[in-house]
Amino acid sequence: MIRLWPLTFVFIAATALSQQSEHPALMLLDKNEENVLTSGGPVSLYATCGQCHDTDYITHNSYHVSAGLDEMAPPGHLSGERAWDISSGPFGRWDPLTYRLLTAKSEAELDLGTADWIRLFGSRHVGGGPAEISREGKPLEELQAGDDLDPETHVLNPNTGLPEKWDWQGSGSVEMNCFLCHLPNPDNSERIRELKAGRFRWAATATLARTGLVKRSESGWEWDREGFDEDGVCELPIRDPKSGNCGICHALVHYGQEPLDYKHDLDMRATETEGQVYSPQRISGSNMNLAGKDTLSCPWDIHAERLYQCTNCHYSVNNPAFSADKQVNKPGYPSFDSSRENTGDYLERPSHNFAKGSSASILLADSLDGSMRLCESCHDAEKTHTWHPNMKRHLRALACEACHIPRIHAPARSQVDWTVLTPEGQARIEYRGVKGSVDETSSLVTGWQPVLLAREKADRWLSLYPHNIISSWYWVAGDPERPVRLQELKLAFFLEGAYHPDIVSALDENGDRVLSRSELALDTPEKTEAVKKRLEAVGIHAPRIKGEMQPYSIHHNVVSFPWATRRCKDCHSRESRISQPLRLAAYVPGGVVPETIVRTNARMNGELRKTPDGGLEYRPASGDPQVYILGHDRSVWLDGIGLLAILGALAGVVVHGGLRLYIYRQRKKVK
Amino acid sequence: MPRIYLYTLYERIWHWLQATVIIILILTGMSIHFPDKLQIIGFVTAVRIHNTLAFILIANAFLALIYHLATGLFKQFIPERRNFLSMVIQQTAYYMGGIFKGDPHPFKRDQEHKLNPLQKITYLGILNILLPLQVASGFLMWGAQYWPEITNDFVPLVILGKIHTIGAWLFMAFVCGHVYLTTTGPTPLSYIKAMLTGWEEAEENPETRESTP
Repeated sequence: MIRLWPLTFVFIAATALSQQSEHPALMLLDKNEENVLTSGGPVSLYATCGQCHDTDYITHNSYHVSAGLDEMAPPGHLSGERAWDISSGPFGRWDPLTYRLLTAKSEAELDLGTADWIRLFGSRHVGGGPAEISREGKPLEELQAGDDLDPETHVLNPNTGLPEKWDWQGSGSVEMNCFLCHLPNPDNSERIRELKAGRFRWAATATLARTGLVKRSESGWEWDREGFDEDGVCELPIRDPKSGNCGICHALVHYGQEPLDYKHDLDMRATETEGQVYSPQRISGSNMNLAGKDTLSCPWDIHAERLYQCTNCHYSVNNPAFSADKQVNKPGYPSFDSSRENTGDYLERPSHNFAKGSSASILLADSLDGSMRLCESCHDAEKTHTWHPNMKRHLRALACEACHIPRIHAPARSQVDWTVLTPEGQARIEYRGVKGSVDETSSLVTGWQPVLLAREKADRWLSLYPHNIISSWYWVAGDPERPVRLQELKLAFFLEGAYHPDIVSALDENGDRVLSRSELALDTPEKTEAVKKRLEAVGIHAPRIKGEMQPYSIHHNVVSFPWATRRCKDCHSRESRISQPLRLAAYVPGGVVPETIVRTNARMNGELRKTPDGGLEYRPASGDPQVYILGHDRSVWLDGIGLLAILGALAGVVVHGGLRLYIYRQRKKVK
Repeated sequence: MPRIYLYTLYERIWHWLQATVIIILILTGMSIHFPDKLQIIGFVTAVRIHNTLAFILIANAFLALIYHLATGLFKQFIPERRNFLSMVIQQTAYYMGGIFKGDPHPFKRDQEHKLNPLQKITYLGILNILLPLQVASGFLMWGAQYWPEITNDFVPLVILGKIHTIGAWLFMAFVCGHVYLTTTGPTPLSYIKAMLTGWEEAEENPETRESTP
């Protein structure tokens, strides 16, 4: 036993070292490449990180940075997009979940200027790209606001509803924020605070608030000399990004020992839209009020439990450690490309284009679709599914996720209704998988079953994947049509901080002059007409309601074999899992049937059905010619004809046989 | 009662094997088609048995084809060129009337002429249309996992599924009629006995005619 002590020390020392960053100490420089301790200015990532890394290469090889800036086009010119979309990425593609529309250069009315886009949506943008460069390629800080209503130099004053000039020289722009992803504990809330306040150039500095290097004072951010050595050099625990860093913008990621706390937040996008949670913790160990919680002894995600990080699959496309067996955009011959980068080259110029799949809702950087590590990159399903009598057919028709993500145990949005406004001036939002308000921790989270929609796999075969579908309704007006601006919606709905009397009269069902949540619904022609009149009264020409459905594919919350869908009857029965409908809406605003968003790779060829309670559900198509599910895809008329044929044959037998028997007996009597 | 040797040992083995296989195929097929209503055995077991027996059926049918070609017995399945319609009418008239009066069968049976005109029509349809369609559709449905291009590009699975289903129903209807017609011999069980022993009791006082010229 005593002999093992030295080994124990070695293990502890190795563990301690592994927690430390291998990144060398560095000098934080400002934009003028002067030490921030001397200048007192905000840290410049390009100057600081650019001492060793090619930041220009990095910012130009990152769809997280460009966010669609490099895929912009005038409204109506993007194939498959809405008439008012001006990009395929978040910068320019309208999102009914967030509603505000980035104004195109050609638009006469301002909704969202670039500076406002940063203030509103910068919380989910890493910086650089459109937060730094104009649509014409000029640095934003060089732009001067003129008299023309330019969305790059103007913002909308939320109080007056009038455009105002934006002072880029005062606000600065937002550099790509390396700290956000490469520090173990970046202060995102302080970063967002700076962005919302319009102090863009300080956003990166604020991200360091938890490092002890900088602190907020009354006059702004002050660097703390205690955190630096005498040469003005500091040590930062910089490392490769972990799942927690990705979770800042993408989903609820939880690695701690404490029970997982669920909170809904649109900034945790995949959790809000798909209910995805990435955590190694057992679901039963969470703080959530989950139905059947005691039986949910599986982890939220099996890959998280096995300590896989997001970057293990979504790696940098030129990372030699990961891309060796993934020939992204390379010809099939030769099979081994010895010219790949070495680690030194990679560290200097790491591509920040991350390998990706081809989800139903993320539409930018199409050229990288299918570049990530897919299930089959690590798992040989044919070796582990030998128990299956028709394995190959199933593996082709079903994506792994179809069975291995059988249920989602966190709420997700189902309906977003901008045809009415809540007292906070927001859309009425419905969630699936929860009984009661999603805001109340006491509400029972029931979980929900994703709908299976066909999508093309990387190998071009159609397979069924689990999805959520979010339905959205909103007012549009004008020609060409645009969503009615939030400011006009507010004008129509509110008067002096309360609902406009006309709105109350139209929507108040119980006559208490107070609009409850359930009363906020345009579920009758009269209510729709009343709101329409209010919109016309505030100057909106010919407003009308539009509805759309956006599928969101689900690839996380993966469970292992014992919890996966594996009983034959789950799919091979009349009530097949394959054809289970998904409730889209509790009510149908304006009676408008929503249309599927054109630009999605999920096949939405099912049917919409109104439910008896006035809601709407989506029922997947059961007649896909490439899919025939034994025990489920039964043709009633064909079985009817078959049954008639048998009954006919039996009737013939009975009549003919009966007659023979009768005559035989009669003859016998005679004899 | 005089007896004639009608079925060779091979024919009898072939027939009963095929009958057993078809009945189990129907039962397992029903289990697969109506898993929530007629689940006697598990779905996976039903699929496995169905697939295995299908191959046995194909092999048995193939061997029978070779046998009938080699022995020349295939000719008995081919309708006569002359007077076939009148033979059909004669056989139909027998089933509609003569059988009730105790008339003898209109056509004499022997090893080379086992089928009456109506049976010839029926087997012509079954062996040339129904069985090949059923085998081909079932084989392609099973083979979809190995050659998905076929079902994806040429014959959609849905069409195959429907063909296979209607084929199964027709087979079941055929089995009903086939089993009933085994009772139309000199005694209700004489045809069954013939298929078991090979020897059939010939009708007494036969006023029979050769079924072939």
